[in-house]
Amino acid sequence: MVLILLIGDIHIPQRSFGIPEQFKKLLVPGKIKHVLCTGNLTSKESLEYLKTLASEVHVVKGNFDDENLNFPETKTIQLENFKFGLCHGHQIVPWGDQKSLQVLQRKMDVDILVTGHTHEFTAFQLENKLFINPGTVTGAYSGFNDEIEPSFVLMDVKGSKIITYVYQLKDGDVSVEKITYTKPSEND
Amino acid sequence: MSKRFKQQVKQLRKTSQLVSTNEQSKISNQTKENVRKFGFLMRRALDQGKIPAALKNASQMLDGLRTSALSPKNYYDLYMQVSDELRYLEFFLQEDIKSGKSASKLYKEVQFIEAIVPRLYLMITTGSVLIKSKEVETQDVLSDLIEMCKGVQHPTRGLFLRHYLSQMTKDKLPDKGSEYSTSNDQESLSNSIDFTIKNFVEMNKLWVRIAHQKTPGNLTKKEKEIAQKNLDIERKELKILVGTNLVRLSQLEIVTLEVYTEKVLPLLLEQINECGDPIAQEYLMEVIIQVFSDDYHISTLPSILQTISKLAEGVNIKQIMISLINRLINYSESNSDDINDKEQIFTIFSKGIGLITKERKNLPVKDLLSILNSLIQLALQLNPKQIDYIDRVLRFCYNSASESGSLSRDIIKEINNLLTTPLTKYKNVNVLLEFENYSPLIELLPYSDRRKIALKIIENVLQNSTYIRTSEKVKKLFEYVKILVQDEKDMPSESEEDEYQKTLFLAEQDAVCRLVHLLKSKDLIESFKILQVLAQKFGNSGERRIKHTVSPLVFSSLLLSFKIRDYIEDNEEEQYPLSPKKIFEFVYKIVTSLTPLFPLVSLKLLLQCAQASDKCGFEAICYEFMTKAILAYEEHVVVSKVRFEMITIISSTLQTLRIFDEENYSTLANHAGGHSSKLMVVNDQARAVCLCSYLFWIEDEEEDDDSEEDEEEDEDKEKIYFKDTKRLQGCISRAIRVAGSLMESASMFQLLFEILNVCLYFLRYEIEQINADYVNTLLELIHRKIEENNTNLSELVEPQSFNFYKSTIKHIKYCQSQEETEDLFKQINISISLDDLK
Repeated sequence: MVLILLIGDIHIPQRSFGIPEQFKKLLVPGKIKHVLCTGNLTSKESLEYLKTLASEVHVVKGNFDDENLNFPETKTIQLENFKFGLCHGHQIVPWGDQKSLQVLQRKMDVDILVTGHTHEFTAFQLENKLFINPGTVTGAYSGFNDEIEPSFVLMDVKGSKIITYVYQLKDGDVSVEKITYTKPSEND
Repeated sequence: MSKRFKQQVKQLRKTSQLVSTNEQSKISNQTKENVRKFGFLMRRALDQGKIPAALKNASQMLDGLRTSALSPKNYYDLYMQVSDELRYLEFFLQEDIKSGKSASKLYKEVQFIEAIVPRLYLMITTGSVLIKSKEVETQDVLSDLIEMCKGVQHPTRGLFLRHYLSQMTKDKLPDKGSEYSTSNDQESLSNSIDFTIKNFVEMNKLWVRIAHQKTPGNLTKKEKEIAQKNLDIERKELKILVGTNLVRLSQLEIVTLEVYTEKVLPLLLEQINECGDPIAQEYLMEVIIQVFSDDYHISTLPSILQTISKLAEGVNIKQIMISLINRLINYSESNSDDINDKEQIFTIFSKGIGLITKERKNLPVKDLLSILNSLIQLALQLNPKQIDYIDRVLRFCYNSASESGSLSRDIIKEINNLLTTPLTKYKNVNVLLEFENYSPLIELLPYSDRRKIALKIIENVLQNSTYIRTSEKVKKLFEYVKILVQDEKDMPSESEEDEYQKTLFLAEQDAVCRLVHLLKSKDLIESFKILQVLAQKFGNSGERRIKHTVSPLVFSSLLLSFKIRDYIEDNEEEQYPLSPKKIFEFVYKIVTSLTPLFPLVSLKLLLQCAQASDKCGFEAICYEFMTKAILAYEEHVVVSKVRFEMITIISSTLQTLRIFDEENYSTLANHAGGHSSKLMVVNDQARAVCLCSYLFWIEDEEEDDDSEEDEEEDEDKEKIYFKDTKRLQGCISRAIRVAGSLMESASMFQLLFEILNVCLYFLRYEIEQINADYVNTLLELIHRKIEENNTNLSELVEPQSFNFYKSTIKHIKYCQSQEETEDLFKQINISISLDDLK
């Protein structure tokens, strides 16, 4: 069993003063093995914070991240039986488009594609692949929509099975949703 | 030998002078030896039942305590040894009384002993036995003993004798419920108080007089100084003997609040006042504060403060005051409701501190500030809403500190504490903003301290998520932290900054940026006012800071534009004085003015503004933002890699905008396309041009609420925002051509696969030019390119690229198998591609 945190579009300090306290209480060090960050952190402090949560922190570059931090545009990570693809998503046109994300999934040759940029949690399956956008953990401003709820995702990966927990902050309360995904066998 | 020793002691007593250290240890050892010897004889006599002989031995043992030669410390050691022996004697005599002997008789017998010191020790010992026997009234024995003790006036001897008296009587003082009180009326009980106070007063006098004991005459001046110093140290060690009496008083039940206020405290303070000795005064005030209960202090504050103001020069007033205030703070933490008149306490302290500063002109400013800091803590504890009072104290601090001329490090430290105390207590900067005298105090500090406190204030706001909701308060806050948003006269120049200061600068600007998101009102007009205040502050803060602070300002503004739009939509009938347009004009000015300085920051912000103005429905403004973004690109972006990044982000932003009429959109799309095709690096060019194809087929995503009703009506009308299939195909064809020209085959194939996927994307729109045939042509092109290389695809490309192609073909197969895509995809011939993938 491996616990993975999907988190991104933090945008501190340009768009937010901090990660909500309700989330900080849930995100305690020592439990999470890997952090997959979709980018736009947009400060060193945010990166330092993620590093306090887990030893393995994977970050890709968002369109507002500092060049000097040298994050890659995309990253693939093998965890248990899954190949994860990580990309901020501003490179994918039209932004947030499912068919275009599918192209990226094929291009990166991954089972699960994790992207951000839209500041809206989404999860869907297409042609047996899983697509997840953990949204913005700070509820940062976005030009797409103005009703933004802070969110992040925890994934419990075990062999070929993934249980996904979506944490969202609605009117000051944390709601949790559970989604289960099983990797189809290769001969499918 | 013992006779000679006795003579020696006698002689020493006459001189009433301490002897040198060596001699002292000699005398001390000899005396101790004597105590052991006569103590042994005494015990033996007691065991044999020979009481008179035992008393005689005891008296001989006590002769040792008649010396004047020993320093207090050596005398103390001897005293401890003697009192051990006396305890044995007391125990034995008590047993003897139980078997029927008369205690009164015994008490009278010992009075015949010639030497006064042995006589009094034995009178106290037998007096204790007498009280326990209850043959006579307790108070009579006590009065007798306290009177008789007056006979010993030598400081060390007297002090220890009285301590012995105090020890032997401590469990026998008449008190409420005590077995030694024969009557319970107040008057007879108050004898205990009189007895203890009398003993305290006498002991204190003796203790003070130890300081005036003569040091040996044959010493040099320096040796004398050292001897005097040691004497002081040893004397301090004896303080507990005097303090014990006060502890005893605090334990007496009959010392009620009334008795304490009316009788006990006035007598104690009188003695403290009269003795005039700094060591005694400092110690005794401390003991009074520690041993009596807090509510007693609250009732007697004025007289305590008055006494403090009159203490001798050398007394550390600061420590006493802080102890006193801390007692009250601790008390009010748990008993805040029990304190009736909190304001009264403040008034008394104000008067008291006024008196102290008047009486003690040379009280150091740092000490005064330290006392005032404790007072603020007390005020915060008693009544945090007492803003006026705390503000007045801050004013007093300001006056005291500014009058003291240049500030020492100690005073600076105290001012920092004064500023931090209310900050950490309130956990809400809004309260702090009500003070008039907070920022003047900050201004007294040197540059680096001002920076630290400013950062602390902002961090406090952030940690507590404190919203600041009016423009006036925001202005006030920026008075407190202005050092972070403006250059100061006393700041070091940028070139002088070391690594630490550079990091600090970034941390500060980071904090200011975060702060911006907490400065907003629920009233949108007020929120705009706040943003205007910020724009003014940041605008004058210099390029180095603006580079950081402009972004949060713009994002806060855009968020506000959405809120104004929503408010107007929800309240159509109202004539709202504010429009999103005003916000856009506001940010337009800010962002465009920064383009020459920070083109990339500015460009990205312009695109954000374009998105927001699009959502709010302002076409002309949106067009202006896009134009300015493209101009920024043209004029300021030169690095090839950055050009690719920027033009793709311009194109993809444009792709999301829905406000334009056809002509305006077309113009912008042409520019995006034009710049894409001008990129120097071929890879970049192919990708950027290919991306532009998405600009020419845009479906209108907006779902009208009434779309279901109008469905039939709309059926013919395509929900298309913009389409230009010719240019769409132009982009793709150009991308294929550019990719095909690449010399490096791995990159070429990767690009062709990407373009193939774009074609498949558009297939579903049934565009005339991008159909199955077009895809087939591309698949054939890929096949031909592989053949040209005379090898397998897997040899030509990276495995990931190979898999990309493979899964793309699999995707085509999948679409051919699905009902809804079958018609569009069935014409695609994947047989040659499947060969290529073998």
